Amino acid sequence: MPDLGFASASSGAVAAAVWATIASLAASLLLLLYTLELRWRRRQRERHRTRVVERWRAVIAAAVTGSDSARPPPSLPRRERGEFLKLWNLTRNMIEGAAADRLIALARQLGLPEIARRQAAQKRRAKRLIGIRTLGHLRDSQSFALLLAAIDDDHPLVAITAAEALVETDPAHGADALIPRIARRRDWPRTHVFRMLQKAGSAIVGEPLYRAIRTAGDEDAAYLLQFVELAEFDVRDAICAELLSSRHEPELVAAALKAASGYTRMPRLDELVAHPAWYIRMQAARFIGRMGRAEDVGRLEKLLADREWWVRYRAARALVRLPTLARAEIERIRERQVDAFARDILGQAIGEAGSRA
Amino acid sequence: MSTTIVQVVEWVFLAYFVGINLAYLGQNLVAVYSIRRYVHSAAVDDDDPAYSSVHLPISLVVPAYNESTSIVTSIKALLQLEYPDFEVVVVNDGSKDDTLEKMIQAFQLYPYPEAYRNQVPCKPVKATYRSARYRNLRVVDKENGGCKADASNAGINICRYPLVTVVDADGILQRDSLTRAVRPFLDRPETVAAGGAIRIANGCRLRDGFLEEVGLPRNFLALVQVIEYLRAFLFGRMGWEPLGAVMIVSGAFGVFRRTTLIEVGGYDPKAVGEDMELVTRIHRKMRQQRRPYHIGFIPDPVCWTDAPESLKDLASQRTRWHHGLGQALMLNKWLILNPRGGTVSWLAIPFYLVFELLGPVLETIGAVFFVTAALFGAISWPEAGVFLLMSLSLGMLLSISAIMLEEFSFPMYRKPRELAKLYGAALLENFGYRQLTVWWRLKGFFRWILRRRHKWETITRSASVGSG
Repeated sequence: MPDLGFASASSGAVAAAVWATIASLAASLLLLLYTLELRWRRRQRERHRTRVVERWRAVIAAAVTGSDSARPPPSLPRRERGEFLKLWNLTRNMIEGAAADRLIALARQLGLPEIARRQAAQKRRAKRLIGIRTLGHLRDSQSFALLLAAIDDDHPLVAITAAEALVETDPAHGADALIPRIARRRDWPRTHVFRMLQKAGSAIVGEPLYRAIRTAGDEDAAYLLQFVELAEFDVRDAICAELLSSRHEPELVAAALKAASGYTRMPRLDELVAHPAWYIRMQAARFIGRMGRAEDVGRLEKLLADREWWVRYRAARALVRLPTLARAEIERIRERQVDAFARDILGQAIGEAGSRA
Repeated sequence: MSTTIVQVVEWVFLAYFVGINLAYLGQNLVAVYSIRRYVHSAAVDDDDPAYSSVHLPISLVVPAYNESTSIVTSIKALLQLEYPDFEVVVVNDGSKDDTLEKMIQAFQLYPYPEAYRNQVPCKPVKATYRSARYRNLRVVDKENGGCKADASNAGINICRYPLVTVVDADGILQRDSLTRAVRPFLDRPETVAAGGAIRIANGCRLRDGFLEEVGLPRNFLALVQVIEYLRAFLFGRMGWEPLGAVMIVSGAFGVFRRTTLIEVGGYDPKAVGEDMELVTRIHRKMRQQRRPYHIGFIPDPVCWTDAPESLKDLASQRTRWHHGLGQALMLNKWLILNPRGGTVSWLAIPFYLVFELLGPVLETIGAVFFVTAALFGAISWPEAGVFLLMSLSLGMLLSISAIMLEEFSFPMYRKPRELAKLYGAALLENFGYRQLTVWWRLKGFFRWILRRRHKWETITRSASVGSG
């Protein structure tokens, strides 16, 4: 207990203040020591990483180039596995073809499939992810069941990594497993899904995508339509035309218009150009622009005076981009607009087109 | 009688100091937990193509007023950011210098008829320009609105992408700052705003508007602000994030969903601290409408900013911040202890009211009381000294824990000499600097009470930031 002989008024409060001071000074000292320890540990980790990377980079480079293939690789110590897996995956991401086959062969010699399978079943997310990714890069068909279980994991990153590994291992079966889950897994980044389907190829994804969209409810079908451009264009337009004829949910109609290629005329176009939902009118303007036909000038002109800025903007851009309209003709269309908004938006689109030129 | 009064006051101030520091330490513990989780997932995500391939288009709005000396370098740096799809919208807020002319020349700007939409209020736009050299650069020339908020609103009106970032013209962004800042929006679709850690650029070496080498400033005021920023961003913000109660997304760099900005009416040109007021308003509107939302924060250093190095500039900045705090809280007083306000109403707002807004008032009263009581013999000088020592040691503990969090998350100051310098600053800031900031905040408090108005503020740039 500190000597509080000086405390004249309230020794209780003073004692508490003294203890608070001592405690905070002690805590400061402990934190300082902990910070130093953190720094020391970080440095140790970095040194270890540098050593491991230096050692294995040469082995991986030899495997990729195919030199030194007669000599067996050194054994992979347990404490070097983590860094090696990262390095191996990083390299594997960058190469395909024969070099990738040689890299996979090196991994098999080092017992990587077993290690990756064990890691893919672990609870720690970081380890699990690297395990799953490695199995995909190894195209390890024995792990298909394990990956299929992981595709339904609650964590989006685990699930999508498993989906990617499945597609990598077996594109056809992988796409079959992946596509019915896409609408359910809105937590999967769309661009990643897109890239996976792209990797599988339009010949493989077209049919399962068509089936999934036809059987899906309006909301799910609208979501799946984002990926339909990966299918060949006749499949894509067939889906869009079917949905536009049979369904009326505005979000789905807009999505179908957006997805249609423009090579095929879509049903109900006149009705959609005047639809109460502005985003359908906007998508209709874009679609007409994609078709690029001279007889649609009147439809686009009407949309120039729409009450919604985006509809006017898309109609104006579509008009300016029509291959059949010369600049002078567009200027004449602008001059004859009685609506000031229509003139302004067409002026902007002309300005933008000018800057491109 | 006087002994009783002294006893009561002593206990009150003891309780206040322990309370405020326990609150900060509580934030610290939450921050340790959330930074640990973040660092762990970032280590995985950085390597993961799921993140590197995803992007949401972003509009960068750069309000500029009399930025002639640095505007061209700043914009060139922004145009080189590593992000697949973004546009830069510079808003010249009626600058009196040649900011606009310099941009016209450097980027080959030409006027074009943008069909401007007035969705959030701002002063009239005089002209819009496009760059013949950079497709993703546009410049808005508008009448002076007298504040950054008005200029930001003009940018919000003209930008086209779903996410909007308002950045300071003199801010230095990390090349990958957009990729990092967009993460909360990808992880949680209900995210409406996200901020990142801001660091001090003084003492760093810059090249072409980018950070080349991290360093600590030689100027003592700037050095202490390095510690303050670590405290504010690493445990100030990270402590509130998991509780869903981040109240500030820094004006230097923050990402917002454009639809949300328009729904809440954009920045308030009358607000002194427009960044805090906007975020507080978003909380209020979302909670009033019972809508699910999230305001995210990432501890990654995304933006480096120039700290004031003179007492005059620093005083002006701190006075303004405190004035802005009072105004933001009062403009959104619906949130105070509102049953529908959740953690914002019951934790964050009371914290900001009692410990932040009223903090300098209570600290000043406490200091005056102890000195007066000691002068009149009601308490002994050593007794007053104990309370002073307690306040200083608790303050130092917070600074040291912020340095620990820095080391724990994204350590930028790697040389042993820099660590020693930071500890030195954590100790020395208690002698003079802290008392000065209390004084400036007190001035800000009274300015808020007297409802004075602030305008665009310029600070003297440090040499490092202006170079290159």
